[in-house]
Amino acid sequence: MSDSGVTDVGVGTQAESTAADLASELAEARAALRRMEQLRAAADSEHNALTNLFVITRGLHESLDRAQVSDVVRDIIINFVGCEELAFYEASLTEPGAPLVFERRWVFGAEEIAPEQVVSGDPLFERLSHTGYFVLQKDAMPTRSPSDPSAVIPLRVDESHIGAVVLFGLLPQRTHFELLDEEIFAILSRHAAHALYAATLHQRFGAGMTGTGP
Amino acid sequence: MTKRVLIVDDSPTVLMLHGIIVKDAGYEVITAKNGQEGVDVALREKPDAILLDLIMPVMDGLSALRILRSRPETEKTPIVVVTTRSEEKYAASARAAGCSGFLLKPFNREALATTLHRVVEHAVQGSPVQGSPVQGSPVQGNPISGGTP
Repeated sequence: MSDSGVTDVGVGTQAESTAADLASELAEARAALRRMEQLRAAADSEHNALTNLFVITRGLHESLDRAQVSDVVRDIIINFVGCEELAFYEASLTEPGAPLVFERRWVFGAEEIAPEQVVSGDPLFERLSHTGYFVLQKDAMPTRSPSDPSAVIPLRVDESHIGAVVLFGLLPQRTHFELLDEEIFAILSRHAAHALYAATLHQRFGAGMTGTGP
Repeated sequence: MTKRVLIVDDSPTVLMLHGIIVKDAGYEVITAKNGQEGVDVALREKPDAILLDLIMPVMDGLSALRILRSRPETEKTPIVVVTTRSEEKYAASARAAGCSGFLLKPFNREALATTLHRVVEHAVQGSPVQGSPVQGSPVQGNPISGGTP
């Protein structure tokens, strides 16, 4: 009896130990699974971002037609960022010392609120010429205001400002800008600027440069 | 045999992006750049699913959807409307015209791939296209916003 009792206790203890080990292994496996899921989500997010940025960069440099480049910029902002009210401003060449002027070249959905011209001294000018920050209304649902756009993307070639893309508001399904939006703005700031600049040069001098232009 | 997805959108940039996502999801990609071309290609190629933009030149997506639903070749083809328009009237019109799903742009890769897999799977199983539960369908009152483009 006693032998049997001792054996039973031993078996029971061993079983409990095994069960505890299994529970511990299960917890570790679950934790590992959670980590893997987090890594997969992070990889998916990065993959998503890289795909977007690849498409944007490639799209911007597929044409030397200025109108087509403008269409690509517009499509990127509508479909990738989620804003359907935007305007493109171009820096006018003025006499040395004269106030810098940004003139509206095209507008989409913001005809009533996007000013046709922005001159240095205007509060919006400071934002157009600002080089460090793209998103002006970061943490709240952007408002639709001519003097307070939701984002400004300065377009720069080397250190020269050639223009800016100004966004007013966001689509209702977007509540705020995210990190990827800012990455898109940074890409546009350089690549859209270079694409538009190249298209402008091609338009003016293309025939002489390539022998195939208009 | 690889299933084929027709993407109809007037933006070359969007066609490129959606084409990459759809291809990565395991489908063959066909494209068309407006509603009329979309109808022509769909009737000719008989794809396994269609992603259809709403606002396009020549023929808009809603008109294309109605034509496709009226033709025996495409009456049961899963058609997902992909648009930036979040207003209920667009969703209601698309639903009335027989869309299988409704995705709001911008969205991420997973949202598009998941929706596509779902509608194609429903079609394979012979489920009715109209009213099939699709993630993000406004029919369910839960439109996908995607958050990150």
